Amino acid sequence: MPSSLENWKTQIKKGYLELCILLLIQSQKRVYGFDIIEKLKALSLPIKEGTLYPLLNRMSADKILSSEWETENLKGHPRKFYSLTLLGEEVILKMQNEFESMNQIFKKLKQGEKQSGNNRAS
Amino acid sequence: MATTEQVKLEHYLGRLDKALSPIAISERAEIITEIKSHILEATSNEQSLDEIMTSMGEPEQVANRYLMEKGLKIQKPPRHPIIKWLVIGFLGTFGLASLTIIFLVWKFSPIIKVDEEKGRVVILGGLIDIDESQGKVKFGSSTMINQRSESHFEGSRSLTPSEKKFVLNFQNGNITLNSEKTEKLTWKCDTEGGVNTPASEVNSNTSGQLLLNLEEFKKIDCVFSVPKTLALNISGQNGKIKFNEIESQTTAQLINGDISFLPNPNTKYKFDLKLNRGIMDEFINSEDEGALLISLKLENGRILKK
Repeated sequence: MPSSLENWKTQIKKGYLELCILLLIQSQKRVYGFDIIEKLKALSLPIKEGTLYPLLNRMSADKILSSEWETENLKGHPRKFYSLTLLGEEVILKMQNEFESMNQIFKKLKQGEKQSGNNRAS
Repeated sequence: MATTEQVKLEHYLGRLDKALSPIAISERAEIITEIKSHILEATSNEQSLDEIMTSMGEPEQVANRYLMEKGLKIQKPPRHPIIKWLVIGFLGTFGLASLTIIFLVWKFSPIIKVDEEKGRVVILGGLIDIDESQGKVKFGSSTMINQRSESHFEGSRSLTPSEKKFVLNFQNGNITLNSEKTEKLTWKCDTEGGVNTPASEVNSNTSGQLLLNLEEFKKIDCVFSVPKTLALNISGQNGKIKFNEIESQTTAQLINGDISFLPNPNTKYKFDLKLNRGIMDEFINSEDEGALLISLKLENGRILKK
């Protein structure tokens, strides 16, 4: 069922993308929207502008991100730079832990499947 | 950036601003500045404005993302402007047409009103008003009043075998045609408002037609007795034409008024009736090949069987 697969992909990607964006901001310290899109694209994780900016907006409202406008040192238009807040640092840690544990479960299940598969084969 | 592109960008941002209206203005301004900044950044990276806009999606979609992230109610996608104009155009046309029809019905109703006792026929809500008792015909704003220069004439004529048709023309008045057993056509007329000398002759032309033209009178009141060998062709403007048990082939045309046709019980008829507006009685058509053709044509009024 391709439509339910698409739906699943959208759902799982939503949280995952959020984590990836936060990790990227963490690694870059300060980064603006256009740059995030370019960098994620380079990592084969394309994100639409229409998805990213509302997400950044919401995370700023949740005080996970702080932002500031920079108008100097540019080609004539201002850029909005994002960086993690202290709360953001905490959140990202929790998110990573959560993701890791989910990944562990996933791996275990995959392993178990392989073992039971092997058992059945032997 | 070219001017046309700037206009396009401003239009896009304008739509975004409108779609973001549930969000507070200061925050909205910041969102728009950020999106604009992104677009400018992308164009300076040699992406075309159209490409960027396609990639961004419709402004309303982008706005809905913001609203969704904020847990606000999303806006309905806008209808394509052409649909909006089509709807406005359709409703406008429909509304105007309805108003026109309502106005016409109100202005010209009732379509026809006949007051037998007073001899008055009012057509199209008074647009045409025929008042027999006063000899007055009103058409729109012009009124024709009959001058009471009355006269009377009568006569008769024995038909020769070549005389097969009687043609009568008049303007306003009453015509009664009775069936005559002999070979004699007789007439009795009271007239009003003749212009000059009252022409009262029934003339015969070379093709065997008997002609009587009473159009110069403002009003006539005539009774004819018609032998059955003589076909009839009666034409008038306003008034009444009455056929009493006529046994001849008949054609009659009237603009406004009544045409009455009382069938002879022993004669077979075939009717060809045309009425534009008004009331029409039911006539029985005979399938017989020798049936007499009765052709009656009336614009406004009644075709009666009596």
